[in-house]
Amino acid sequence: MSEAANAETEERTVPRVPLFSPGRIWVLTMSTFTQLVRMKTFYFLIIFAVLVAAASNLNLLYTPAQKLRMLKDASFGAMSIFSWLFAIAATAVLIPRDLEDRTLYTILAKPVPRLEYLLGKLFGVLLTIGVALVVMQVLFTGFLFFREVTVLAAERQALEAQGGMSPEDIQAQLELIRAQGVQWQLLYALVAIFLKAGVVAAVTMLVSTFASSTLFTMIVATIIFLVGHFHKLAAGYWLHELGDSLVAKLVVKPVIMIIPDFRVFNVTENIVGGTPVTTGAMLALVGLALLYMAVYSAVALYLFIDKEF
Amino acid sequence: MKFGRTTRKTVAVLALLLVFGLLRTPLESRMTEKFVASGLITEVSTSQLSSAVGQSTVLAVLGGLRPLVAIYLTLHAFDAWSYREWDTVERDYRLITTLLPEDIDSWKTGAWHMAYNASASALYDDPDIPEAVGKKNSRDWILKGIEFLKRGIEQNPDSSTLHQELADIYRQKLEEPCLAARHYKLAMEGDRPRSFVPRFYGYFLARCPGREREAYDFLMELYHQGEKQRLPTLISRIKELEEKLDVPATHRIPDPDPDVEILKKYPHAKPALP
Repeated sequence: MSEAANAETEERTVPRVPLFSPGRIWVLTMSTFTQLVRMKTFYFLIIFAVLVAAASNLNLLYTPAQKLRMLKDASFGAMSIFSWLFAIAATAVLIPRDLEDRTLYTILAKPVPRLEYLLGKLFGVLLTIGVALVVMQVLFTGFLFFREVTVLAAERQALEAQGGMSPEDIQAQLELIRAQGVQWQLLYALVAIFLKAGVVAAVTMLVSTFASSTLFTMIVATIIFLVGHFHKLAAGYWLHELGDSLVAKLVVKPVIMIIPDFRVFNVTENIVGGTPVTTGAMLALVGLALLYMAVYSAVALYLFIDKEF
Repeated sequence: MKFGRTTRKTVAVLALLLVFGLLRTPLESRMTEKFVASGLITEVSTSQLSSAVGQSTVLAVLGGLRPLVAIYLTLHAFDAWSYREWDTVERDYRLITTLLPEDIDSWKTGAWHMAYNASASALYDDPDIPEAVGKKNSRDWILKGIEFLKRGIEQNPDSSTLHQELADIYRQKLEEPCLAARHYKLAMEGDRPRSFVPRFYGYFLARCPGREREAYDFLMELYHQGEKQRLPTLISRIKELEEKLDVPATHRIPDPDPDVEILKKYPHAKPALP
């Protein structure tokens, strides 16, 4: 056999490795998800269930609508805290853990592009947050539905016994309570929480690509998260005080530009309170979150691509 | 060599993030403005909050945990209520409504605590306080409740519930029929008026000096709407106005006066008026 024929046979037997493979990303996503599940992440759900049960049994002498709103606010508050805290902690831990377990060397020694590795890790964290949020939403909806039914029955009975109210008045009162009960719109609030967690995870991944330790990543990501909620407010004050000075130009303005603005994702609070939200507004929010995740992942790849381990 | 590469990369990353920031800021600002205008984001006055609560609470409020802070304050107010610490209840409700200005129930509950609970407590809870002082303190709490509701109405001008609550306070606690009628009318024109509110507007307009004719015309309009509106109080009030306005016998309503009917049936009964 000639040399050319040998080369041709070799080329035919060794499969060509695609430059970008969604399949490989999916494998990495699932392995990250398994890794996070093994870290007993979902134990948080037990605490959440206890919290929702406690909030739904809080019988303060307030209106039925207030009782339902309190349950919703407590549950969505807990979901929000869980999602951003988890996004920071889980993402900060993943790369150092892979280094410690030497899994990173095994993966990168294979024909896996570093972009796919980073995306696999990010999607794994997002999948875990997504699954946890869905489970929490199902749990919460069950409690809210039960509470709504109980509260409506009690209110109807009380209004009928009280007398002096027309059936239309009773219906109007019950509608006000129903407005604070189970609504499809609450799913939008869940999506907003997920998007915010996604951006937080992408920021944390970016920090972890240059950080020297897990602790450093967690602290920096938490600071960025907190500052991202009020830096525009604070900057407004500073810019008013400093005017068009050099400090304003060199320090304040660049900081506003670099740190993400998380306030825009705080729509959850009012959606839960009953403010109607349009699909257009939600799509804009999804677009913004995807843009953040794409840019931060690209910058993270730029730092990670030639990092030596 | 390595230091040079690290510096180069750091500068490049900062430049990339800065360019991204420049591109996204106008887009984000437009989105935030739209969300604020459509009520999806509430801008909380941090200066108002920071003087009343700690910095960490302000941070929690800004960090998307506004409703959780409001829940904490609601529980705190409930606790203060059980110990009759009315100043704390008032402070907590002012904060709760700063955090949740669109929550009608919080405005209503806060005003109820001030105008009814705290005012009654000022009158009866401390036997050592002279009666005149107790009455003055009680009235002060009623006025605080009214001022609180007026702030709620400023934030939610279309709320029938808040106008009705205010009218109820004027009616029950201050016996001001003209002001009560004014707010029942505003409740009628609001977002979710109750079916009895127009009747109440008529009843208290009838009690307002100089507006009897207007009240009579309005109550007659309700009377002509049919049996559903012809409740004993409505008939009784029309009869009173017929006497007061000296309406000719041919124009008077044929219904018997319910108060007289009751007195005929139960001689010791007291006529019930709203």
